Amino acid sequence: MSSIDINLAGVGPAISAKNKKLVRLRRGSLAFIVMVGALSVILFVLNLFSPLNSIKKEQDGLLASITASQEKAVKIAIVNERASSISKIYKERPDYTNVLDLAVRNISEGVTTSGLNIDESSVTITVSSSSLLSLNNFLNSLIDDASQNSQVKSVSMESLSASDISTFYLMSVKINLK
Amino acid sequence: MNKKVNLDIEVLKIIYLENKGFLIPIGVIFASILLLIFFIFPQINGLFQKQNQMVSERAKLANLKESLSTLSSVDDSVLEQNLKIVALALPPNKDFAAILNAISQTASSTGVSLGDFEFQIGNITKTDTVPTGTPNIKISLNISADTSATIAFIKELKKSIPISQVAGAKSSGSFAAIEIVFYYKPFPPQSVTDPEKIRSVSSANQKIIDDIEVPVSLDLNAISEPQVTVNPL
Repeated sequence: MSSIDINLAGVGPAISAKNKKLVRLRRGSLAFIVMVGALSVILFVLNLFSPLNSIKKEQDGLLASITASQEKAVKIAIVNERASSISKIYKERPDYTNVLDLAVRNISEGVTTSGLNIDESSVTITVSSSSLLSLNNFLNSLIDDASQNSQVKSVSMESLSASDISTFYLMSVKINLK
Repeated sequence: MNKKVNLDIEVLKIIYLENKGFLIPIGVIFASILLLIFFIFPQINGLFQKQNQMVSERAKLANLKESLSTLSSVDDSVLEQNLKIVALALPPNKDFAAILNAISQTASSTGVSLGDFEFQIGNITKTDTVPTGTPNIKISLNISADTSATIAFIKELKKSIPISQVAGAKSSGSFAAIEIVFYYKPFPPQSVTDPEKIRSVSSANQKIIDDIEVPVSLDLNAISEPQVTVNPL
């Protein structure tokens, strides 16, 4: 027969400690559940009152208005694109005006233009005069002027010829472009 | 002395009965931790992502407002005028009439007589759908003019429209042969604009348009507006 001890005395401090632990655990679980609940409610409220939906609604309204003026938008884009293309062509196309002005403004009395040749990289002007001095003055002033022109790379005299019959000189000057 | 414990059902029952008060709180804490990990933290993460999304959506909204403001503020008649001018300066197709007009007007204003001319155009009906660079038409032209008049012709042609470029010139005595390149550029086949990027004609572009010399003889009101293809957004 096994002996069973029946302890009639109170258990005192051991059970009290266990109860304290149980109380603390219950409080802790309550705190956890309250925290989770509170966080859930806060998150729900934040999501509910998020302005994202109203922003998207406003975007949709604006898009509808813009769509109604789509043709106008396309025209604005084309005007901008054309103007930019025109600007690009202006920048890239060679500008002979400057160089032609340079050649022409140095032509003094007694000198006349008798020929012109333009290609991608140069402008050749042929001038004639009965006076070598006039041609010399033209050439010198052209060189001086060309040295201050950013488009001009160099100036060279291509030819100088004289007529047998009359005192008539023909000079070709080549202005090389950068 | 080692204490031996028999782990049978009776013992387990006793352990359960002694500690059953702890089970529910532990279960609640465990469930709370699971909820935190699998629900609360992902929701918080989602909230931060939403904040970032809101910043980009607000920026998009601001762009759309600016686009709509541009569309409202741009004068229709000014826009139509600008469109006509740029289409005259850089035509969307090979406009032979405009080219011949430009040459004859330039000749007239510089006192030059026009001689023979020759177009080098390739396929006259094909329109480039994807232009690479700026397409052009080359024309070789003979004029009766001395060198001074030829120079004046070249300078005057530079200001005319459609925009052109002198590719070469040879003048001798009272005749000259000039090679001219006239530019054109087709409109894109399907015109689509980004609704967020609609902005009015920039001041630099407007200056270019204002500087284009439209011939006095040309009445812009009489010219029909170029047709543009519009695709829905």
